[in-house]
Amino acid sequence: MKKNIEISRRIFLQSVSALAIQVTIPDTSFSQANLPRSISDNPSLNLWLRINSDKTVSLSMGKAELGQGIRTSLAQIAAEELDIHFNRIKVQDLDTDHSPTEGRTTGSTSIERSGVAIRMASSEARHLLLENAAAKLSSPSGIIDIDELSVNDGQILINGNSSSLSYWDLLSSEDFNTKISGLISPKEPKNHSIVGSSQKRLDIPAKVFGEPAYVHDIRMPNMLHAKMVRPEIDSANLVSTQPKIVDEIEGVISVVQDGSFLAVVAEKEEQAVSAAEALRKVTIWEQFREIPSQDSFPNVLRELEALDPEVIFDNKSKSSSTKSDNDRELSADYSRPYIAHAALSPSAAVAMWDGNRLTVWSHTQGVFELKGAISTALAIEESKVRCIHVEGAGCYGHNGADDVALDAAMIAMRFERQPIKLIWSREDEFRREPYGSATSIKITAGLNPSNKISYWDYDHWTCTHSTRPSGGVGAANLHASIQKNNPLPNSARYSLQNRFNGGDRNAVALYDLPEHRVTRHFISENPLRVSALRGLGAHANVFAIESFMDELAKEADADPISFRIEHLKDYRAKAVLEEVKKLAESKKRLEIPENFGRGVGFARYKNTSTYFAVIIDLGVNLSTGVINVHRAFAAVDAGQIINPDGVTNQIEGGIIQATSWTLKESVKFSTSGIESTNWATYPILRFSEIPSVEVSLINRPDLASSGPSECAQGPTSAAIANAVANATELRIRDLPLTQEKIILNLNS
Amino acid sequence: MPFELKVNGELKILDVEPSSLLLSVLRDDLELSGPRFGCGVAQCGACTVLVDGQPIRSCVTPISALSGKEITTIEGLGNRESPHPLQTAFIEEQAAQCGFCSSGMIMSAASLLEKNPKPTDQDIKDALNANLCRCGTHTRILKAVKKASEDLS
Repeated sequence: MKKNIEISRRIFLQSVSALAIQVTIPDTSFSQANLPRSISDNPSLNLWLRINSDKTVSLSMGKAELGQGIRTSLAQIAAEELDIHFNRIKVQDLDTDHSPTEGRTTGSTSIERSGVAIRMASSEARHLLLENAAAKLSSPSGIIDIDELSVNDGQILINGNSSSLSYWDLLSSEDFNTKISGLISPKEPKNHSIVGSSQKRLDIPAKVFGEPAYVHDIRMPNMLHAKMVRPEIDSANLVSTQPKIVDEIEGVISVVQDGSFLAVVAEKEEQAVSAAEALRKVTIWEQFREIPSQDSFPNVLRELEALDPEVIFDNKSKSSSTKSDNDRELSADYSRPYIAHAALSPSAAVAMWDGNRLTVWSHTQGVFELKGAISTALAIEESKVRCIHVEGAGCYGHNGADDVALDAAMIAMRFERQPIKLIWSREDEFRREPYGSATSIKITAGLNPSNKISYWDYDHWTCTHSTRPSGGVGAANLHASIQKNNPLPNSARYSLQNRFNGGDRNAVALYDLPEHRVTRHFISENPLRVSALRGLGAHANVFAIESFMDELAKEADADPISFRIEHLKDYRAKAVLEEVKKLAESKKRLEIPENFGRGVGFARYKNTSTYFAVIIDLGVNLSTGVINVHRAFAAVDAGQIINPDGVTNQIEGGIIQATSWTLKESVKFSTSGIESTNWATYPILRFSEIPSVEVSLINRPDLASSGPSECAQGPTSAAIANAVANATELRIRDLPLTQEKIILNLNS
Repeated sequence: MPFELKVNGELKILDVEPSSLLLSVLRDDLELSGPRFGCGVAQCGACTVLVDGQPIRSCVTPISALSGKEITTIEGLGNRESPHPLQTAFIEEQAAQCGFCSSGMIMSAASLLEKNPKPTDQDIKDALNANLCRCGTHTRILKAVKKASEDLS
């Protein structure tokens, strides 16, 4: 692709021309133990920042743009610490040959981790530049102390007055070739002006002008197009096919078969589509394992092969029992189905083997992990694989991005110096992506005579929530790695032992509960392929906990928000609930023809990250069973806010996507295939169904920032279920809350 | 067999089959990236372009049906130097996350504003109801279209 070649060239030119600054290196006789991981793994300052002769600063980071705006927010942090205008920051491509290694872009941790690292690197760079300036501005007649210097958009000021120097004059033959000490204090939050302001996203213009912005848009000389031929379910082997069938199709170059991996390659994409379709019709597959019928869910989740139950949280030992015979006991079972990431575009990748090295352009969330996984799967040295991140459609977790990268790589290895572009079909995207895990939950709790919770027993049954690929054994998590000849062991796919899997996320309620026990039932048998979906286990866990809190509040005849606040100690938790209540109550009550219902949901994501509370106003039409979600109010505390509009955008999107999950979404399957293959068989929320969303941000400049992108999922699902219960007296505990389910329950 | 197609005001002579789908021709033969491939079955709207001002799904439309018609893609609507008010409003309102739906949304909205320069929220929702957004940026898109309609008047 022209764009990437240019980018590579640009990076190269920047590296050779970039500047260079003579510096006195701070005392490095410190312990590295306190440095954040991103810095200790990438200690060299020039891995992060370069001062360019065109009066810009290049910023490299290990985090990927997924449409969440992370690269804009991180650029704000750098501009803030460097005291330069935001538009002077040039964010560099994420490329395993050049970028710092910061792990995957997952779990709402980018601001928490990369943000801290970039702040540290940038404040250190500023300090080094100022030391250099002080040395240059000093003369035998007057020594300038660094404390006398400040910076205004890169211009060096002496005691507030302009000097002859700017960052761009402080060039010499050295660049930031020094280790980050971590000893330079960043700015006080009260002095921030770029951090805390709503900067426009760097990635949006290309998207609204229809420019090349995605992997799908890569075009390169000699590029060929590939398409996969795949069965209806991932657990099937190829029995026979007839490659000759495509011989007559114009433009077809070849059929690539490697075990059960089957693809066609053609000059043009539409030729590859026709050939794949023809080949599909004459290819026979044999399913090698049974999957339970969808009708048996969610109950079957408690019958599948599981590890021994494990108590993962138990505070009984610490508190004296408050359980008494006068307690009223409530118990309820909740579930969520398999949910698809359902990216708007099928996954895609471009791969090219030049005879010595393989380059892969991918919308993966982890370029370094993908590089390792491809190296293992193809049995080539890791140094021979390079992965470059290029955006895809929003993924919301681990979808087909990594799989298609290996697919393209396997094909590219057969075509020296001919780039292979592979865009999956819509069907394959739905059938092959690893879904968010189905989950079953049971909660039993007691209410004492003063309507306080006296005990809380929580059990959850779920498969893993993370089968992300990586080098070594994790390479088996790439779809094609178990299909090819000499497959990697498929046990990692179908019999999972990794109990630390994200299913426990938010399984421990944040409420102050006197006897609180949480038991994990880790399902090792894996009926459908699953992995990380926005929030992982937090979605089902918070849905269950927050639904049950409402049931308890009702039993206690208490206001649901007051009931929650009475069971919370954490002031930030109480504050988001009070704020959302204030916001909703400041608005007129909705006048709607349907039965009105209001519901609340709350969680602190992961119990360590962003605080979030939401109130949903909806109507339920009792004759049709249709739920109209009219409006949502939300309050968010993500610590220090970097980009307020960015946070709001993530919250609005989270609420609307979670509304879609809650009302509509469940992957359909039979015992022999995935039946959700397009938007008709996997419907999502449309414009006619969206609520209005109003978000209130609680900024806490002196507290660490946390990511906001996943906090809304569980609370929103619960708030909708709670609002439906409020509107109809119907308590629906199995997601999704479909029209059919409402009607069925209304009639029973 | 050469086939003539009028795209963004220019006559293109293409060596393609008349049965070729418009989206393939736009993306692969004319190297336009604006029309996006989302589903291939006219369900998501990411590939929306205008034919004589009407929004159509280019992923299911053979070019044989388009002889002599004016095809407009988002590249023909506006660019960085000369943006369409919708493009300006989408940036102003930050009406995107992944942005994969943006082209299709903007093209459907452009057609709406041609016919109905002062749409209500309901008019906009109706016009965009067949365009899917997975990130949940609908409320922002709504605001952006509204803003563009004000800027156009």
